[in-house]
Amino acid sequence: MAPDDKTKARLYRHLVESSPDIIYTLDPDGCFTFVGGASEELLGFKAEELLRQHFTSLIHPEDREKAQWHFNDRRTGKRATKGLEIRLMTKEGKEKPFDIKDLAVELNAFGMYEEADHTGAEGFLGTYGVARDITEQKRIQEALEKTCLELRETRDMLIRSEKLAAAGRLTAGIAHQILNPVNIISMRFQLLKRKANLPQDTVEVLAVCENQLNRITEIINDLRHLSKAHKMQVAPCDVNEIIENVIRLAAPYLEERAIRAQTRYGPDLPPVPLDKNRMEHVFLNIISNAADAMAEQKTRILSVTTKHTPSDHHVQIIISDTGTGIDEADMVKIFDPYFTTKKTGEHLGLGLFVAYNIINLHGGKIWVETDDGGGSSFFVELPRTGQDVPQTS
Amino acid sequence: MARILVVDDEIDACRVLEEFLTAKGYEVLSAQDGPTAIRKVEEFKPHIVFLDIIMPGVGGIEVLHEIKRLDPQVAVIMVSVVTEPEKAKRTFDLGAYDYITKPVDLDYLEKVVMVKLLDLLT
Repeated sequence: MAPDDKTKARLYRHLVESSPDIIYTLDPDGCFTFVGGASEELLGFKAEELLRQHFTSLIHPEDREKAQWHFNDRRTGKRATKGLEIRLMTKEGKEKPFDIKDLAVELNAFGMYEEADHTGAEGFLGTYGVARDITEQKRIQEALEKTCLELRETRDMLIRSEKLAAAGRLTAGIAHQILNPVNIISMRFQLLKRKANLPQDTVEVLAVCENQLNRITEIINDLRHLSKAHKMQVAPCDVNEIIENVIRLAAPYLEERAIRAQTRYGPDLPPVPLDKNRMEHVFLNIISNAADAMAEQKTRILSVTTKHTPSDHHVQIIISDTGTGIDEADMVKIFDPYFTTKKTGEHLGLGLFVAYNIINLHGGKIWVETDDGGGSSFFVELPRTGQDVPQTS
Repeated sequence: MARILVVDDEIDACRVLEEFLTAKGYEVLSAQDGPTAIRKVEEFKPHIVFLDIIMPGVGGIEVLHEIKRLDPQVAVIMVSVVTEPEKAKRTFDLGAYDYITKPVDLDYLEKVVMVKLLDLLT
């Protein structure tokens, strides 16, 4: 015997109520006329709480415009909405953004229309739709994307490391080839300088030569730091101890330039896997840049702060100065090789490039911000676990 | 008179040091390769050897090893373009007396010689 209408209605209700999706209908204005399925389980609202509410009250504020556009489109046309991803808000008022957190839904909705009258016009009765919970799917997708990103970063890091190693071999070779003749010239020069009763003009020429020789040696040293950047000897290190050591090393240099150093050490920092020598080189370089930036300033304060990042996965070192700051146009180029704002010949412009690469090889990050007061702050973030640090040598 | 041997494959580097140290009153010889250096250590019996590390053929490390085997008392001062502390440490482990990087600071070199010779006297 075929079921009667009452039985059919009961069956359909059971079907709707047992659905894992949210099933709903809206009137032409967009207010709920029916809500069933897993709405209570997923959103925390009983069906009767939602009835007569406008659908946008459930939608994340950032997605409301998008949802309203789709709704209007169905009202004015006959298009259906398929696979629209939006974020819903739960009863507790918590946002559930689909890209990261809890509840995301994929919406399939269709317009309901009266049968066409003799003119062919159809009246819009409202909307019916199904919202499927895709939170888990989004989470998996997110995790997959994150893994892919990490893989890409690791690959890029290895490529960079390999490129640096190749550049390192080249520059080490060049440095060696240049240093031997420089050594001979330098020793000859030192002998010449020791000679007594040299005419004044010769003394002046020798001073110029000495400066130029020092310059060549400094360029070679810069190149050598670059050539060594890829070689890492990593061991767990106390960041505070490294900073303390660097400040001690830089003290005479800072004193000479009337720069006051302030340090604020974060307590209980975890050991970080680092190449101590390379990292000291990085911090000395940043400090030397900071000192240069403060050369013409009245107030010369160098502040170094160490701390945990809020996530606790990194240790952060902030080196701030009261210098001239960095032009916005220079911000993007500051870590490029051969970029320098110093006078031509004063520096090769490899210092921050080398620093950037060393930090990169540690799996860390370095960036610079201009302070409101005018100075600059260099931020270095180093991961407390070193699984991603390539042990190249 | 204190005897000093200068070992460097760059003849001009040898000449400057020879000139400098001779003027200071030392007896100085030079060698431009490892085997010659070892032979001169045996014949000349220097108190101090300035030894370049990177040389074609027999390198400075091998020469250092051989010199210390022949005469552990000789003060071998390494002279190199290599600045890595681990490389320097290796030569100290093999018995090097000091490690000087190029470009050489003649003032420092002179001091090292004097300190070593004072050591020998006391």
